[in-house]
Amino acid sequence: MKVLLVGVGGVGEAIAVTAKRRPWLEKMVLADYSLARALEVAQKLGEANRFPVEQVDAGDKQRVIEIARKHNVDLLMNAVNVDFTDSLFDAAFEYGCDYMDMAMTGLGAEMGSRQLASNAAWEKKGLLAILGMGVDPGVSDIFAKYAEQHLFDEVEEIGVRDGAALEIAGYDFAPAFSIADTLEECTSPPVIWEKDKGWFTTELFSEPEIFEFPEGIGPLECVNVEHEEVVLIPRWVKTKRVTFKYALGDKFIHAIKILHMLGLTSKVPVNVKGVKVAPSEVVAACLPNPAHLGDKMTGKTCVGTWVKGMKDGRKRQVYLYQSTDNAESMGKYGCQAVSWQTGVCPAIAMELLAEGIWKEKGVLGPEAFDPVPFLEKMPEFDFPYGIREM
Amino acid sequence: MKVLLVGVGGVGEAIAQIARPHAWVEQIVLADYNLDRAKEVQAKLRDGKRFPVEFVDANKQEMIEDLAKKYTVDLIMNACDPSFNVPMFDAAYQVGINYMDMAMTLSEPHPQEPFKKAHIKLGDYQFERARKWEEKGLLALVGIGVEPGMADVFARYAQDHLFDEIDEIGIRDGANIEVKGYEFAPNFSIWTTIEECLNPPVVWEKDKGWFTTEPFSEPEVFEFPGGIGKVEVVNVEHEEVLLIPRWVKTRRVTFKYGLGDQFIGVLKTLHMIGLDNKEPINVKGVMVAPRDVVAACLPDPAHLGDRMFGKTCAGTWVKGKKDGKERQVYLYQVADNEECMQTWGCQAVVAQTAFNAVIAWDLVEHGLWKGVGVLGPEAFDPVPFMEKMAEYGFPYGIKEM
Repeated sequence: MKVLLVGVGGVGEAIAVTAKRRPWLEKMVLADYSLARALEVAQKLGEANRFPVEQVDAGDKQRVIEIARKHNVDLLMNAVNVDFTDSLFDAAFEYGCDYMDMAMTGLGAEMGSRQLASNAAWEKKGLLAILGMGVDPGVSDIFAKYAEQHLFDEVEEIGVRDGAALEIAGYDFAPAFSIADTLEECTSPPVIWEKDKGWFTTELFSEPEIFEFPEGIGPLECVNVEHEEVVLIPRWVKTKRVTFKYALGDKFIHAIKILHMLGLTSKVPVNVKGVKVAPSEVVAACLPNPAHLGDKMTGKTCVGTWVKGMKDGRKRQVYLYQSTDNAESMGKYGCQAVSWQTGVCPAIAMELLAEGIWKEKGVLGPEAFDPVPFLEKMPEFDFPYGIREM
Repeated sequence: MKVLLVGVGGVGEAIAQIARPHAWVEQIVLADYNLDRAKEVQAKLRDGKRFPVEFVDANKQEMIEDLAKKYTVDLIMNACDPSFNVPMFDAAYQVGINYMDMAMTLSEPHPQEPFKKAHIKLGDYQFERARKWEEKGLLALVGIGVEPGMADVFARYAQDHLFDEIDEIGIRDGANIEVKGYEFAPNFSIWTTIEECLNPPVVWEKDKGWFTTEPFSEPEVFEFPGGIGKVEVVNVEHEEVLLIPRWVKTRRVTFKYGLGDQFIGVLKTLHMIGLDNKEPINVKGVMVAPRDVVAACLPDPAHLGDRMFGKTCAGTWVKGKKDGKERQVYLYQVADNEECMQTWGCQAVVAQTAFNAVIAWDLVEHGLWKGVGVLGPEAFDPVPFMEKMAEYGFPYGIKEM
């Protein structure tokens, strides 16, 4: 398989590091806006022929197509922030290769609607686009499908719960994930799906609840955040309610609320003494780059799916999860926990495509596929999952 | 009396408006870096001869000296931000005339222990030159706004007339001003507020002298009069702490500002993320100072006067003994924004700062305040000053606590 990886940040690097060990990977083109960053990762990977670098502006569709054609790729892997999803999705379709991303565009219930609406055209062309194929969305959706098929007779509610006990030495405040994406998802109204009401939105940081995370992470306060699973899961899994809650922590929520109130989360450029600049970009530039925080970070992160329903006439509650320890992901792969946990997932999906196990065509979410082969591969990738009865 | 007023911003305009009805004010030269702004104020004053305008760069000492000589003024009134104090202070000395300001030369934090030890303090540059001013028979009256200024006069009054012995003097500033139509809109420059509030606050104690603390230290809830009510106040670096111990006998001096929870939360968050940084950083190829971006995202306070409602209170809380009994008193002045807008066409915060300078001119002009050297407001007899306050439309109050 030949892959064009657009975006070689923290997650992009983790995808490449993971895929490098798999025999099906013929070539992975490392394309980034910052050629220096692409070269840095290429050097770490150490196989210049298998991992060539390219400079690219992900918003420049024609240039993306040229690179795809030059390297004759089979798959375009989008690992940049959601601002570039439309141009990359269209580039893959026009060039004629499969496509995968890890986040979706659009507000609330509209998330991904532009992509999903083109399902028939992709099917007709014999191409596949998997939307939201990271850890959450991604593995969290696969867990939901697995629960429906194998653990429950009837599913009442599916709640994705994401929490971490990570500390970053030397920083008072340092998000472990893309700051632009974090600001975006935390300042958009959270979306909830219910069978009778369909999709609807709530106030920011609504319905706080304490969720007890496994693997020693412990109880954390989680709040509603806008996230892809809420839009994806109801399309392929039968249930009555879907939510996504994130354990952001008081300090983080407080900071986001203040930045939002001051207008500093805005992506719309403002005039600053004659220079145009987007406030959210300035916030990101003030904070440390999450791609370079790995060795200052300690602790674990956990992503999982809490499913409530009936099995054999009795109530059942299960939390299916994946937990990554930063010391392990850094030690084995040189990637910080949050990036690695996200980046492994598309690599597993690529393997399932390369081996012909996932065969569907069209524009699909991860829960549209058979979850069992994916879950079976997870331990093999040093990426074990757990199931906890609750 | 002829005055060279350098800086015709909000406070400068209010000084001219408040001085205008007094016949003993012969002439005020309105000098500003922005000549259009000076002309705008001149037009409101409607007397071009008594209020001539001049362009000035307050960083250029010679230019200030030339203007002082051209108009043969008796006083340089500094109404710029304190980063321009040095050239103006030195210009007055060179020309041989009196000088007044409303904020003192800037501090520099201690290089190793910024939140414990004081280093270069507010006004150090000015007080180091006190002997020279004395020898030349000139007066530099520093910090003669509301705070510092009126608050220092109150401290001296408490010592002279209300107490036998003073334990502690705490300046307390709080407001309930709201800006309609905005969830968050500071009524003064956010840029300056960040500077002032994130500098290490200074405290004075009899045994320790001057020392500094972490920003926003020692929060306390203070009940302000005039209907403002309870406001949380925290330590902020301010001139009174440097001035009062030089002339008033006490054991401790603090300055606490009612920034409010919301504002403190904002400042802490900006600082935590690094958005208070005034040095340009690279944002996707563009160089820009994060602090300027914050200012650009907020409404310009210069245009908010008629959307502001509420009152602002400045005052001095004194604790000590009188006739063998414990006593606590708060001496204060409350200004209402709507009233100030109607009477002076200026918002409360600037009007409340400006009137004190004009009273000081009055007292010096009429021989009620006499002194040479570099002096704070508390070096003078407080009674004539306080008697003038009601006359100028800014009455004081005294509350037993």
